[in-house]
Amino acid sequence: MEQRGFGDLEAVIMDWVWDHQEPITVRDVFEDLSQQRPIAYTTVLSTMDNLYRKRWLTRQRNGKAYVYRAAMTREERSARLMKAAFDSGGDTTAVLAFFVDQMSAEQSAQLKAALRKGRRS
Amino acid sequence: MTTALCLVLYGAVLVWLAPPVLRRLTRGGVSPSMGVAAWLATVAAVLAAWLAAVVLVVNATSDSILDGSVVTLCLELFGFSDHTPLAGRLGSIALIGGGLLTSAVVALRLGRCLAILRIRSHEHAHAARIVGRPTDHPHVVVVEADLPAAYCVIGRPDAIVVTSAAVKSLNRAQLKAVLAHEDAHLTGHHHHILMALRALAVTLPHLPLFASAHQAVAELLEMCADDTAARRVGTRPLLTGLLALAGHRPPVAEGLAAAATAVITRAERLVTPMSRQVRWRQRVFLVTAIAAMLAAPALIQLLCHH
Repeated sequence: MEQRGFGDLEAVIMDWVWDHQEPITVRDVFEDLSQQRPIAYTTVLSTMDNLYRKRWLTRQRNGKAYVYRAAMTREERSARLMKAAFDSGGDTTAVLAFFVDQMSAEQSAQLKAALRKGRRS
Repeated sequence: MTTALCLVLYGAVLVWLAPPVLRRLTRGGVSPSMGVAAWLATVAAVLAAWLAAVVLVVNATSDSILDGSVVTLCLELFGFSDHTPLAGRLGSIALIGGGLLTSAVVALRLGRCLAILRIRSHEHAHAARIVGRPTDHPHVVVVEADLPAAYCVIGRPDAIVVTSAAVKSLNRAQLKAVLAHEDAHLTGHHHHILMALRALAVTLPHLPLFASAHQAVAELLEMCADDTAARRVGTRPLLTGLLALAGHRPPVAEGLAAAATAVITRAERLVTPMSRQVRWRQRVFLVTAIAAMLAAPALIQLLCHH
């Protein structure tokens, strides 16, 4: 597995949140990230605020600062994304290009038969 | 005025008669990229003809709002010679208003639909990049899922999503073939073509050409991507990859039979390549069809002026 690119700060922060599980503050994330890359506190702050507004994170006020936690686990998020992907094709859904369209087992047997026939001839 | 009427009729003829002809000409995917070109040329010809007709009508009638001459002439042609210029004047205004209003509404709806499709796609790509694990291929992310599947979606940046189940069920060569196929979609801007056609189908669902172009072109674009992938990694891993990823998903209701037929056609053309003669024959047919379609408006212009 590769490291995230520099531009994927939202992904980096979500990785961090999911890997740590317990509620975190912007300062927690900043202190950890600033050891790996040059980054400003305000950048982390605004990115986490973005993630909150996009509903990836939830937050609660704790004294002066907010504590953040993931709105859903990575598994729940993945499941939701995959459901959206398999249900796509409606009028206003994302335009996805699947490698193979959905098929039943019977139709896939038909495909295998077609291939065998092709190989023989 | 007559030219405008001819152009409208020409567009209508294409809308209703072209789909079966195009489907026949592109059958079996002998030369898929040429097939895509033929579908797109037809769609463009219809849109251009209708737009030109609106421009011609507006041009011809705007001068005659004051004297109503054009529409009065038309009414006289149809035997309503005793009508006053007032009818002609109102007719002119109605023609201009109707033409412009229809064009504006269609253009607005198209634009809005395109914008939504673009935003949804970008959101999906972005979510996939957050939720998935990055790989050493810049666009590819692996998302945890039990169903083996692979797809791509445009965004900033684009994303090729491979599920963890697909990674498990494909060997190295097959995975490379799948990625080459998805990469061909992205570099070929296939999503942009499909978005435009989807938007047309949603905006003008009652016109057979637009209703069927999206599905037909989507199938041909799959074949184009297959050809690119096969050139890069060979036919065999692509075919076995196709088999490995097909048939794992639970059967879902509609559109399934068509999808399966399309996959079988894809597999068959990879297994038995067409002879050079058949390929050239289909190409010649398609080029002739495209040329005829594009030359027709000029011919109409010529005929209508005599």
